[in-house]
Amino acid sequence: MNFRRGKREVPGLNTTSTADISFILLVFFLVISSMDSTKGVFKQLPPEDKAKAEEVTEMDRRNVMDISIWGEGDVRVDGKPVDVRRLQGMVEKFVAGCPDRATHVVSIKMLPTSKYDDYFHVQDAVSSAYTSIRNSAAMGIYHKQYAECEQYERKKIDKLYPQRVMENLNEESGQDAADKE
Amino acid sequence: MFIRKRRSVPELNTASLPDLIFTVLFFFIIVTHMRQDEVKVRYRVPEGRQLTKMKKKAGVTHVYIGKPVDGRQEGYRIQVDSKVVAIDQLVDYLAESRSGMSPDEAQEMTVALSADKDVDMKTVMEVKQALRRANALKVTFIGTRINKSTSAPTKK
Repeated sequence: MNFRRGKREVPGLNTTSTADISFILLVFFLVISSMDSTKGVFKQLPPEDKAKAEEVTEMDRRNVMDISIWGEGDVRVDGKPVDVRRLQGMVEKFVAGCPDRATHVVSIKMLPTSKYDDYFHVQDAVSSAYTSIRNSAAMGIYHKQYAECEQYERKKIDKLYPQRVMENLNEESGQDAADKE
Repeated sequence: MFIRKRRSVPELNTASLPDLIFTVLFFFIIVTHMRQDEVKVRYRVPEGRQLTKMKKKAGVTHVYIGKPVDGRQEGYRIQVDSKVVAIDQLVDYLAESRSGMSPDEAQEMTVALSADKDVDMKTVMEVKQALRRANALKVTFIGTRINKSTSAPTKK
């Protein structure tokens, strides 16, 4: 019997695939770092129109939702203080129940000293409300979410449910009169 | 004599390849963080519930409103991209920012407005007026997502 064996060599670890794994990591991080985009509330401002004079029109009281921002955290709807978290539901209810949807107005009034925080919450609530309304409309007509609709489908829904928000800084009258989409 | 031992092809040593790629990885991680503007104003954005992500990175102009970082001065400063500007110069700077864009981007120009929670509305409205004058009509008010536990249930 032969007990003497050949000199054994330690086999080297096959590290060829480590590069692939690192590449996958690299690509993953590249994708992730471009995805951490900032979030916010989108708003389309009305174009500045110097030629057009500000028109003061009498509105039906039932067709206007009057949101005013007073002091810090003091948001009132038609004069009554409300919790900002309930505002979205109120706007939805108002838009659904207003007599003439084509001319309804959500009017946001604020003082020059009002805080941006409150304004942001109101904006958030109002735009969430319109998103929700349009989503349910899109679901009813096209059986899909508003965001998934085609351009012409969105236009149709926008026409059915126009977003009519007016913003006014108190005191300085007619500063930002017709702020409609 | 002429019959030689079969030669085997020596294998390429790839042990250092992962290190190289890791270096590239770290480079990209660092660079992607450095891309942002140096913010010269201090601000805390408000919290919101239903925020949408900003889709594109191209054609976005950042406007910040907040307290100055270094000085002890009162009041709020406005910063466009990396420059602190006075309110009456805002329109010009926005126009300048637009002129640096490609025509496609200029059409879709979006302003990301990061304002401090406590900024008074007078300032914000003035900025908005300036945006309208500069014909930058797409605005996103930047905010952070509120904690799910503290937010009211949203209606379906």
